[in-house]
Amino acid sequence: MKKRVPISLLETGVPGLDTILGGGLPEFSFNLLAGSPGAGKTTLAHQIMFSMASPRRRAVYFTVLGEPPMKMLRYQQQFAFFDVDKIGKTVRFVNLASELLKGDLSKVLKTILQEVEATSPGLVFVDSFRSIMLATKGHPRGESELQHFVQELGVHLSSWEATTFLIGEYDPQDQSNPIFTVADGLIWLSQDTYQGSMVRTLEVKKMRGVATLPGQHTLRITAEGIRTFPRAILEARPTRKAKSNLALKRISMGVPRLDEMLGGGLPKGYSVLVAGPSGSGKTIMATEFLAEGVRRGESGVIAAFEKSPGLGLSTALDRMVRTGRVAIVSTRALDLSIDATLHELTEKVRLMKAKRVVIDSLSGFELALAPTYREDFRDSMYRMISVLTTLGVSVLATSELEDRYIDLRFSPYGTAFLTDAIILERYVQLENELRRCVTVVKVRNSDHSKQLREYRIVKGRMVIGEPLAGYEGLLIGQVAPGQPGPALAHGASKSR
Amino acid sequence: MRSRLAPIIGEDGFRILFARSLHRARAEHPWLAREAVSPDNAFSSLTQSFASRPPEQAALGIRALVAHFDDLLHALIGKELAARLLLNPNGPPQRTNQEIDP
Repeated sequence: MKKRVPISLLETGVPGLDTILGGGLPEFSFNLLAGSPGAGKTTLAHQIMFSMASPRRRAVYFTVLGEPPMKMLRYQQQFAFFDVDKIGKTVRFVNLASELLKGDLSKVLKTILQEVEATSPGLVFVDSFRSIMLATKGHPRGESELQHFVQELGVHLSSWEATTFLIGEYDPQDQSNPIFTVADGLIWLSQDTYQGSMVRTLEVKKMRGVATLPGQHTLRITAEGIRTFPRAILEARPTRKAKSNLALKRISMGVPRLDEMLGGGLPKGYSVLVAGPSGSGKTIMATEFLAEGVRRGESGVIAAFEKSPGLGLSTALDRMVRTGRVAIVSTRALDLSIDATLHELTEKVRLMKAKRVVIDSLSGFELALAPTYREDFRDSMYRMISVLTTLGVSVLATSELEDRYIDLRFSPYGTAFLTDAIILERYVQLENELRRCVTVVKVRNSDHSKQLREYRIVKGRMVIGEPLAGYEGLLIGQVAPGQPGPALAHGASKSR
Repeated sequence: MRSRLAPIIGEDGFRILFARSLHRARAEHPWLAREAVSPDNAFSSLTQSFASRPPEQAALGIRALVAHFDDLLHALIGKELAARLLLNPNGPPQRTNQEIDP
């Protein structure tokens, strides 16, 4: 059996990035941190440097034109990761502008290599590398000189056991750029504005020696520094047979008679969509769902997007949150990404060992998302619900339905097929009164009731009454006395 | 100061800071000569200014210049970082890998 050379993976100190990198950054790799202006390249470089630098792995940061070093130091020290104590001890800054101004790349290379040979840093940063590339433009031997420069730099720094980062703006379309070939790693940062909302992402386009997480991952810059949110990747869901077995275990919804309508409760680990028009009581059902879990000693997590800023939670929900039985995912309106929210949800689920999760509502969630993410909302919801249910939690998501009475819809996003069960709430006009009715539309692999039952909201709780027998067309707003038929049983009937 | 700061913030960075400090100091000591710092002609006009004044006055001028330079540096990058760069800009004498990792 061949013995492979072990590649040490370095922790980057950037939350989420090691997961995206498949465990960390390969030691002695030659990396490119690229992206548009303002995307966070220099900040990412500094965060990695201050986190990784130690007496055993010292860092040298070469500044080459681009952002003036004074400004860079002024602004970077605003971040929590900037550790003044490390400067001069494990972190060195070296300005190369004068070498470059002389227009001689060999002089720049010589200066970098002299510095590296003299100080043996474990980490080398060159910011911005684009300045070096621009300096060669128009030069008769510019292209070949740049190629030689990059190759020499790559070979020397790896041989001197340095992990290297070249920071700069590059054109991703420029496939012929010699840097792309020489680099072991290519981390791309983007900053896109869409419909007035700005979204930052990070993508590892290439990283030799590790299996990275593909795709664009949400990136946030706060006073703490950069935080990335690895894009949720779906794991294999339980097979149909396994699901059937799961279905044997049921949990109570906390609303009398609703369990009976579901065929004995919601199968554990299922996702259920509660769809209904505004004010029909979806949040009340969601609260009862969490409260029932709390009564049985199960913790819960709620992502509450329904409330307007400043509008408090219901008393029952507030009590559960204050007593620490239910965690609430804080929402930052209008610029959320699905992955950032899912990350917070799954973190809280793990922390609380939660068994029940509520998303209230999908409609509010969609509004809170940055417009960029709204376009693939359905795909994202699929990933979100799948990731949550593979964690073994039961998920209740509410969905606002338009007050349309001429047709029958379950969700405005076509998300109905994503969930294992659907409960529909509806307003009906009966005997000159606006009344509410509820029905179970589907419970995957399970028997359930098909009755329409009237319900009332009494003191903030849902009270389900008798079946609305003797009417037809209730759900499409064309109510007519029903044909006398076999009496409807109150219990469950076979759906398949 | 120049030998400590220029390798980090660049000759240009140092030159601009110095020019601004001198501009401020000249408001208090107009006899200070305008000076364009360059690698080849370092502070020659200023040196002449100082030499042409009584030692006490020259000392006041130098102190004002240094104080303005400090103030400017503090305003731009903060006292802590400025002190770090001026006192210990790039650390103790460097050692080789062998010495670091026995």
